Amino acid sequence: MTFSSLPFIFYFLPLFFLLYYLLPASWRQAALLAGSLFFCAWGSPRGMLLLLALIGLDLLLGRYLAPGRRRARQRLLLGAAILLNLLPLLLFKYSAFMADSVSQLTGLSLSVPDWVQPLGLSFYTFRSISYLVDVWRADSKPAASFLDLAVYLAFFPQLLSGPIVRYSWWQQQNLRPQALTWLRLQNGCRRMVIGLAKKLLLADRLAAVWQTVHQVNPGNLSALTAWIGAICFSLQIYFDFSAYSDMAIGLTQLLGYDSPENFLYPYVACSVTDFWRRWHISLSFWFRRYVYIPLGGNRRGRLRQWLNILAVWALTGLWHGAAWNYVLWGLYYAALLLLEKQLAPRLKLPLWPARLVVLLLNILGWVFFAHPSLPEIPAYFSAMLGLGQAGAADQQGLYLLLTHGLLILLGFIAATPYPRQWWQRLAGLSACPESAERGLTPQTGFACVQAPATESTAAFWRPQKRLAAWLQVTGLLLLLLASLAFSVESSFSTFLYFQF
Amino acid sequence: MKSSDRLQSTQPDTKHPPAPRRRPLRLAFLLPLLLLLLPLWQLVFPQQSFSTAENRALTTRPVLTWSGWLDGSYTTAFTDFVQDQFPFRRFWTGLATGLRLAAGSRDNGKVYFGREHYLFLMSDSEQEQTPKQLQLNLQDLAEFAETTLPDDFPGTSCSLLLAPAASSVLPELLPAYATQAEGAQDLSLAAAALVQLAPDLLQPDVTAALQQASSLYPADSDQRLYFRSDHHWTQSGAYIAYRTWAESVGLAPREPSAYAVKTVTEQFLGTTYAKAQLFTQPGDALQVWYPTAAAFDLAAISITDQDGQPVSLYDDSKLDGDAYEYFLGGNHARLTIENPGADRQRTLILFKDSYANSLLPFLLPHYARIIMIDLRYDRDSVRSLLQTESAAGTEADCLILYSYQQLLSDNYLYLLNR
Repeated sequence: MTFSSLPFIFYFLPLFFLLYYLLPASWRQAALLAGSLFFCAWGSPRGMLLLLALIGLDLLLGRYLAPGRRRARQRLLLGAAILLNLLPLLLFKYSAFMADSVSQLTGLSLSVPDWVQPLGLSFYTFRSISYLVDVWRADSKPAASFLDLAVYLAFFPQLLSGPIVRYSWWQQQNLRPQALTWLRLQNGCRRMVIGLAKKLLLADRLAAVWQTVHQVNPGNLSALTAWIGAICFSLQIYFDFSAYSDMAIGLTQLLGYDSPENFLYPYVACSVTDFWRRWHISLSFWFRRYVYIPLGGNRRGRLRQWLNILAVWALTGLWHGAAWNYVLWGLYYAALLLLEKQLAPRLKLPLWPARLVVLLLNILGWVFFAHPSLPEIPAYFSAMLGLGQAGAADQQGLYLLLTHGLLILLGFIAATPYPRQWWQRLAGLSACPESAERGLTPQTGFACVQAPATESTAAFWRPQKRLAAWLQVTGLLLLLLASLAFSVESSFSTFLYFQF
Repeated sequence: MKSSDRLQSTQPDTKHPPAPRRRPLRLAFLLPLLLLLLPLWQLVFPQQSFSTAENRALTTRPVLTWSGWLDGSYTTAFTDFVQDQFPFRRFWTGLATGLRLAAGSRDNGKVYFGREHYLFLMSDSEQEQTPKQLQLNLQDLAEFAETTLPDDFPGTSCSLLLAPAASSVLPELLPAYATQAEGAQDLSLAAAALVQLAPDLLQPDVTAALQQASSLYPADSDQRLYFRSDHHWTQSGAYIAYRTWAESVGLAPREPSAYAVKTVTEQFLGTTYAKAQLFTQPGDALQVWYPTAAAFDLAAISITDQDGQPVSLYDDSKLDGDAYEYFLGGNHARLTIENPGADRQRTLILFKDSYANSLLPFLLPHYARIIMIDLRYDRDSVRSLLQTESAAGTEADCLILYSYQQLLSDNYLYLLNR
């Protein structure tokens, strides 16, 4: 049940919402757990059992990990606990990949059963690890009850695609749901509609263009078609995933909880480092906090830091999918980051050229990501250079440019903070820099994972002028209508990020 | 105290302006509760099991079973049900199409939105497997023409009439730079391959004739060779195909003047419309070439289907739905058409898809008996039919009439040799 599917919007969401707020406040956590388990079981009933088992296991393990006298023994237990938590992920997601790779390397023919990966496994595994580590480090207390931990791990708005909220943050911010206020209702609805529109009006349309291009053998693509394909893929993966985050954040607010932001206009980043502070922020933060820094970060000499960066990015790539092209994609970014660390002190580009260079690098990076079949990658790059059979431009490329050029342009505009700023000026909203609104300062980068989009910052969105308020409501309703039209029309199309 | 209170309250707080007392429009955010109307609607109102607008079966409310839940089929069916039984579904799908077109798109993945209100089928995603299927089908055709027919029914000539898609005949009406769903080139390649495989098979070039004829008609005239909202040819298009075929097999075709053309409906919206869901699509005129006495005597014709039931050449009851089914009432597995007043006492064995339904009336004056077989529905052995007819000493011709699109994906042509 994706958030943009009709059963979710018309059945699950309103029914659950009504029930949730008709129940006394003390019952809401239990209702939330029941709703989340139902949501999980809707997609995969067996996955729900796995999730329940994991919750029970972590509850038990957490009790023994809180700092005590026998730290060495606890350290061993933590290692075992993390391995135990990773086990389902390794089995369901990576066993086929590992068997394949070993077979190719050694010539042995290993085969593993073709298991269906439970929905959201990659996401809740990472949340459960953050729980264990945070408890072990005494960043947070062990969960007081099964319900506390279960709601954190199974929380349905974040179950399938994050954001991956770490436990210590959750415990400070979200242990109990807050009362529903008008502001919460408004913000939640607004985010939900914006997410729906991004998914159904932009991401799915752009994905269709990419699908058209992807069907063609890369050797037969013209440069124009290949570039249109790569650009459409870049835009659609951003809109797809950030739409999902928008909806998750909106739903979280509607249920009386808070959520950190997950995306911050990544395609206006002015450096690769900057890009990764804006793209899938909660994942980058997770890898930084639970892998990079424990490995020693940058404190153990340059060589060690480089190795750490390589390891972290190979893992980040692998997290996105069990295939070598994802590893390549991760290593591509590792290489760019290392290069950037060398060049940055010497080379200072003005803002816009820097943005364009980074955008270009990102588009090229997605070519790795989009081709699980490795030989297609060099073929696609050479098509982009015009070295393919079709040369610089062909009929297909011109057709796609004519029929989807406007959509691509709209996509680029919607991927920048400018529409938001125009609206703020037009509606006479308080001038609020995007970074402050999202609790992010350019210097600290990851700080936004600490600070939620709280009510006080979200109030920036409430127009005080009557005309602006009318415009906002009308605009949101029109977006909702248009999105519903595509949702009714579409055959069930899933979010790209569910496969991870 | 009082004075200081007053002082404080009168001082304008520049950092935090007091919220205005009327919060504009916040009740609008209760609108989402209206979402609950949908489950109610879908509970109360009767379900539709078929959509005439989309020409397909709709999913109805699935029954919850334990196994259906576990294997995920229930949740899939439930999603389809909510989508298919959505109130005013046509409005929503039409809105989506309108938005697509407004954003500059000229296709929806199923059809091209061409000029002059023409909708052209796009090659679908199954295309990847089609070259293989096409190859198999060409081999089956060749085996039939070169082996099966001469063995089982010696002395019978065989011809193939390949109907091109509208996009091959009217490529200038496709959106700019659109790659043709079916390139005229692909079609001629297939024909050339078949000449190699089956030199005895007669292949009149219908595509060239239709292209030539279309250049005679302006695109906006009433004379259309293909429907704008349906993938079939009109009877005008069928006539040209018939004429080309008749001349190539040495028959004297009836002249157009032997027919009286009448429009039976102006509101025909066909198969490509069902895939396009466009509000502004104008209805097509279904023009029927009724034979006058100069063509043949319509009253003498008798048509029976595989069960011996009479079938009428024109079926008025179909005019409200898929009006192309006006011809013969749609596809039948096997029809036997007798015309005692025909020019010759010969039999025609016709293997066909739906393109033949509108062409059949033109064949009637030339054959006393036509056996029309749709291999997609007919399960009787073709070879035993041929052997029976051969033993009975029938004089016969054989015609295979398929659209190229059907030939690309058809899975039943192997039955020709069974």
